[in-house]
Amino acid sequence: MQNRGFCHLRRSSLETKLESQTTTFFILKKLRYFIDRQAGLLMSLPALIFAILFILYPLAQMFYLSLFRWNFVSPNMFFVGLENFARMFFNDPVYLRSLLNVLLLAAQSSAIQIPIGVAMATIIIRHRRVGRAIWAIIFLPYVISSVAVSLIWTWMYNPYFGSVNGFLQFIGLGFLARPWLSDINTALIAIFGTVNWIYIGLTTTMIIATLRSIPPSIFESARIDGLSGFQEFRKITLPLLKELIVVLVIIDIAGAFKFFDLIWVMTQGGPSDTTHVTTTWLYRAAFRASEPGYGAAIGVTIFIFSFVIVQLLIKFTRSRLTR
Amino acid sequence: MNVSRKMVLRRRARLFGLAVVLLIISIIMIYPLFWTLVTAFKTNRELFLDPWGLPSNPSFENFLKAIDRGNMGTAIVNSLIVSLGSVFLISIIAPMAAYATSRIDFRLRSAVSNLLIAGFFIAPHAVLVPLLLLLRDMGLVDTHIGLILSYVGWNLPFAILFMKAFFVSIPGSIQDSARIDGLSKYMMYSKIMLPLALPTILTVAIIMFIGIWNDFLFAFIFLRSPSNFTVPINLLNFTTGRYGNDYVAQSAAVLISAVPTITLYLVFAERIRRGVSFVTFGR
Repeated sequence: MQNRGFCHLRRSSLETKLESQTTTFFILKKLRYFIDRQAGLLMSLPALIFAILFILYPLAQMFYLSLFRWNFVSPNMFFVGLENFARMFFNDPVYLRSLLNVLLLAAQSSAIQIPIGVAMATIIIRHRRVGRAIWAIIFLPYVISSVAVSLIWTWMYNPYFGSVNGFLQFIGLGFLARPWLSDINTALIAIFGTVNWIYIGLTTTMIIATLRSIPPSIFESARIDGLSGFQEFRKITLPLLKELIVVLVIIDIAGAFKFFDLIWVMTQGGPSDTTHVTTTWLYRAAFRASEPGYGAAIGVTIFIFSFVIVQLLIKFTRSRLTR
Repeated sequence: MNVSRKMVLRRRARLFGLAVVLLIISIIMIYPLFWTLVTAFKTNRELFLDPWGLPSNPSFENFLKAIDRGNMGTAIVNSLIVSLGSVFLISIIAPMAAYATSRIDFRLRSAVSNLLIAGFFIAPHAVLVPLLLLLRDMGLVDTHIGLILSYVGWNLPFAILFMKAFFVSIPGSIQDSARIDGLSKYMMYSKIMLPLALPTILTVAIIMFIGIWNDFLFAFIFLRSPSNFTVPINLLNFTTGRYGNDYVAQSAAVLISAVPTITLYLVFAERIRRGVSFVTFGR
């Protein structure tokens, strides 16, 4: 029907007026008018259908399911009210542990990636030629699938042929060697190491993008005023980065609630359920223990926690995001 | 004289220190990938006896094994179908919606706009259960179409957000002059805005392709039969199944899995980095 609209619309309005007003023409004209009038809505319609069917509707059903006990196959669903939520917060230590792990993940990501990222970014911008090669290298892990990265790092941590233990022995710290991913004390740290390895390039890239948006004349005048490299960094770069750092921290928090692949491939939440994040625990509950109601309830908490954070994000990036 | 020499020396020392730090970081970043590359040409015996050694008799046997017995050939075809299909749909739907919600005035515009972008702020992990039920009701579990539709639905918000930033930046005078020439809104979009937007659409398409090619979550939940597996889930299957101890073949599979995205990155590095720094959520 839209095509029809196209060719009719090409005619001048005078021509249109001259058309005889038989019923068919009248309907067509109305339709044409509607199609032209509602162009905005009609053009967003395909996207709107996807948003409603795949995002809005599942979201609503998640809230609904979270109030039931069910096992995926049985025709009977037991309404249990808020029991799933009570169980989560009072009777499920692994869930609470997974929340703690999410917070640890976000905190360590910010604390480690942002300072290193700022340092790398200033270096890359100052030393163009070397910087380019380094930038290309540190961003590389981001384009490789998380499963591939997880496998590579599982081998790095492997107790028999892993390079991490090999390196420790090489530099005389052999006593530190251990099966990193199955040792209850180091599994989470080992995962964090891999996380930072993946995302350091992305963080650096985002910082470089912000630094590049600063007009170079500012740095020039600073140099004329005789500011040293470090002074320049402290007086100009850092204040300009402040807003970005806030955004990066929020992104790290929201990202931690979206974390799944790495942990599932490297440890499946083990050893002894110490490395679960909320998403892996949701998967375990819903699909391995066949408790979709409980899984949906965990989903509700993920949605609420990350939604609050997103509100902060919007508030801080209003100028850039919502137009 | 003495002072300035001191300064030069200090400068050199600082530069040297900087170079060392950069070298170490670069080595840490590149080493695991290099190790995997070397390992893919070894035998398992060599791997365990001398993990750091070079392959004594390098051959492509591991790669052939990964493609043949590791199902990587099928997986790559599947991933191409799913990624290209999703990217194609996104590239058509997203610019249209982005243009409509940023440059055309209509009733409910801001509500529609918010609804379209909302998904960007929601973790798809939260709705895994209802999504699976939805696909089950549609009869699309374990099909590529179901996977494609899910990818389109959950990647549209970012694509639209990205495209909107572009359309907003187009000067209004272009639109005004086109309107005076009597173009309808549809013609304005297809004849004027779309050609202008093509470079931005390419950026979005590349970023989406990489993201979907690498995605594990949806494929892991929605696919059941190995003949339908996409690359990441097939990798996991290869490493946990019968060939769980065949690390050298797994290394080859890992390398194969990354070839398309690394190629894209080598060609479009600047575009990709500019695109992802627009605003990203770790996923």
